[in-house]
Formats: sequence, C-alpha cells, structure tokens
Amino acid sequence: MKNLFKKYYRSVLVPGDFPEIAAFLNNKKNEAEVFNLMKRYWEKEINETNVSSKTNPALLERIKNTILLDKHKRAQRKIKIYRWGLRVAAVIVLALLLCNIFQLKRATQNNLVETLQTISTPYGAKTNITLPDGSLVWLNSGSTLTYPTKFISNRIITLEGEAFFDVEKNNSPFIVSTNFGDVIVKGTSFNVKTLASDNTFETTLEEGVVVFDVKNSQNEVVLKPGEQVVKTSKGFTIKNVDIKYFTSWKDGKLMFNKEPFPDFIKKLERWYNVKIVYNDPKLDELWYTGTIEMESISEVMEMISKAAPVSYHFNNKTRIFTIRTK
Amino acid sequence: MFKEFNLGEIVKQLAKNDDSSLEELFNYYYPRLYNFSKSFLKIEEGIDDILQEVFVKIWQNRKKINNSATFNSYIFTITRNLLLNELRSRLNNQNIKEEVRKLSVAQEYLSFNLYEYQELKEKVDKLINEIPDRQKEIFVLSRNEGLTHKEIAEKLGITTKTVEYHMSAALRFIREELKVYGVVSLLYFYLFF
Repeated sequence: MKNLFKKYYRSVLVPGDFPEIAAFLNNKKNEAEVFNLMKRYWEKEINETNVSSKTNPALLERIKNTILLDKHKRAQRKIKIYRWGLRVAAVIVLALLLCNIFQLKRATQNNLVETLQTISTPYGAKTNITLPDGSLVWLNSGSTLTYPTKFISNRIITLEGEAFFDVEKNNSPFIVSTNFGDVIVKGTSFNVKTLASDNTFETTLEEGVVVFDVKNSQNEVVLKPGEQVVKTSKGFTIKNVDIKYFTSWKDGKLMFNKEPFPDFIKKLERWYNVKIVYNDPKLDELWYTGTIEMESISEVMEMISKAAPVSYHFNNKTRIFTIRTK
Repeated sequence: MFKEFNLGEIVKQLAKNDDSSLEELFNYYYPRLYNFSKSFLKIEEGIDDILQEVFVKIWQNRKKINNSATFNSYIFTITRNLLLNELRSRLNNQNIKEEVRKLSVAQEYLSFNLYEYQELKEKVDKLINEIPDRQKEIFVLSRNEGLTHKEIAEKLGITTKTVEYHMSAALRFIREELKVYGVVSLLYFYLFF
C-alpha cells in the first residue's frame, strides 16, 4: 500500500490501481495508516527549500478578515457573559434589598413612636418631596417642613415658610400646622405661606376644601377654590384671588400682579438668595406686575431700573444690592 | 530569495497577537501546503478554502503553541484532518471521483479513456522495453518507484533538466506508439464485427 500511495501521490498510477487506492483512502478504518503515509510527504514538502514563491495576497487578506470577525464574535460572547453576570448580580442585589426592606418593616412596626423628618431649603433653592402617604409637597426657598416618616393616625406636618401641597385623598385629615393655626384638608391642592418673622400668613386654595383653624381661638375659616385667607393687622380675611400668582413659584416662575414694592423685593430676596436694600420710602408706593422665569438677578435689577426711575448698585464684598432713586 | 526563517521566534511573536508573524508564516507555508494539498487532493479547486481554515485555526490556537515543535505537529494535524475529510467526501461523489482518477493516473494513459487497461498496460510495458536504456531507467524510477524528477536526478547524479528531457522523450515515444495501437485496434474491431 505504501508504494501504491506513493504512486497516487505522485500521479503515476496505472489506471487499474486507482480503485484499490481510492477504496483504501476512503475507508475510515485506515485513517491512522493514511496519516502515517501522508506524514512522509508532508516532511518533504514542508522542508523543501526550493519552492516556487507562490503567494496569494487575496487569501491572506481573507484570513485576516476572518480572524477579525472571529475576534468580534469572541468579544460579543464576552459581553454576553458579562451581561449574564450583571443579571445575576442584579438578582442578588434585589434579594438583599428585599431582605433589608422586610427587616426594616419589622423594625418600624415594632417601633410605634413617630420619627420626624425635617427638610429645609436654603434661600434661592426649592425642592419637592413626596410624603409617606403619597402627597406631594413643593417647598419654596427658605422654608422648613417637618413630617413623620410614617403617618400613623393623623397626617400632621408643620411648616415654616412657603409650600404648595397636592394632598392624596385619604380618610384621615391632612393637617398643616403653622404658627398661626392649622390648615385642615382632605384631598386637595393648596398653597400655604407662613412666616412667623414677618407676621405673614396666607393660604390659597386651588381645588377641594380647606378649613383653617385659627390658633388660640374658636374661629374656623372655610375656603373655597380660588379663595385666599390672609393675616391682616385686624385678624384674618378671605379674598378672591387669581391663584396662579400664588402658586406659580412651584413651576419655577415668579408672577406678580400689582405687587407692592416691599413684597416684591422680599420675594426676590428669597428667590435669588440676595439682600436688597433701599432707603427711599417713596419706593414703597410703587407696584410691580410681570413674570420672572429664567432671568438672572442682574437682569431683574436691570428691568426694575428701566421700569422705575431708580438705579442699582451691587457691592461685591457685602453682596448687597442697593436701590436708589434718581 | 533566501530569507531567514526562524520558526521558533515567529511562533513566540504569534502568541503575542502579532499579525505580521502570521503573515510570515503564511508566506513560508502557503506554497508548501499548497503543493502538498494538490498532490493529495489532485483537484486544485477548494485548496485555498482549506488552507484558510488551517491559518485561522493556527491563529485561534496561538496561545497554546509555544514552540516550533508543537507548531509543526499542530499544523500537520489540522492540515491532514481537513485534507483527508475533503478527499473522502470527494471520493463519494462519482463525478469528482472520476476527476481524481484522471489526475492520479500516469500521463501515458491519459488520452485513452479505455477501460481495458490491462491490455493497455501490457502494451506500455512492451513499449518501455523498446526505449533506450537511460530513458528506460529514468522512466521506471518515475513510474514504478514514484520518484520525483528531482529525486531521480539526485539518485543518478544528473541534473533535473536531463531527467525532464529523458522523461518527455520517453513519454512522446510511448504516446505515439499507443496512438497507432489505438487506431489499429479500432480497425481490427470493425473488420471482424
């Protein structure tokens, strides 16, 4: 067979020998033997020093491309494994989280004492909060809100400053406790502004019903949508207002409608966290109408100086705006 | 032409993802593998596809190949497996098998599609005895021993060119004689039937 294979390999077979060698090569049983026969010629061919410098750049290019493609596939497989790993990690994290939540729940159930949470906003900043019952609160700048981490019987929160509430309907009343009295509601949206330092209190109702329980008195005020209760020197009065001027702040807009100059300045101070002083009492008689949305404080000051016969000055060191009449 | 080919060094570079070492391997091995594959498969078509697979597999396994010895046995293993598989599947197709047969049979039988090769072989053997001694010696070494022209030249201490000259002269003589024989046998056939 060795000789026959040799003749086959060298293409010098006698026609009658072909069927025998073909059958031999085609039989799987002879594989090891065929490999052995091949080996001899392989050695010769590979170690041949004098071969034609046959080359095939196109094939080399094809090989390189296949390798590149193969690399991409491998990289994708790696990414797949990585993704799979991420999923496993996510499941583990979720499981741990659930364990924690259960433990936390048990801990809070055992502990019926209300823990209070206080949120304060600095001047020039606003925030919004979701309360444990799902009610939404927009807290204006320079305000403080205190609420329990879990409402047990009543929903009582305390406020100093200004906030807009969108209260989730619920069987237990929602009470905003202020220095001037309690604002009691069920499910409604309203704005409360309560400034002990300024002796200012106003509650504006957008929708629903609000009961204002005046502190240290038997008086109760019931508000209908579009009404506002304001503290005056004589007590509390109710008036009809355009609510947008009182609630627009939560949407990042300051809207003024014939706003007296002192109130206007105070709002600006809170909004921008700046100090604005003026010493001409004549300015107190001015009022301002307009909307501030994206303007910077310098732009606002520029507007003021154009609308009224005033000029302004900013002191870099004290960070105070001074307004003077011309 | 004679470029230094240091397989050990190239294999080391290959393991370091060096594309250029693959190119060096290709330049050295491609013509040699091609000759080997052609001798084994006979049909040239499809050889490039097989060799592509060989080089891609070498690249994929480059990290496992750390010296020239493992490289040598590795490249042989892949190539022989691919070639034998390919040959087997070709031999199972009658048309391709016939093609392989034609390409593996000695030239002097090529122009005859006769299946009475026993008769033909006897005629060829007779004709071999009619050619000059030197030519006969060379022709027998090629046909009976399956030696290449180069091997014959080395064995007889003559040049490859001389071997080629004698081989073609011998072949020409046998062919011419067979042609006459073929025509004669056909005439013979018609006269008697």
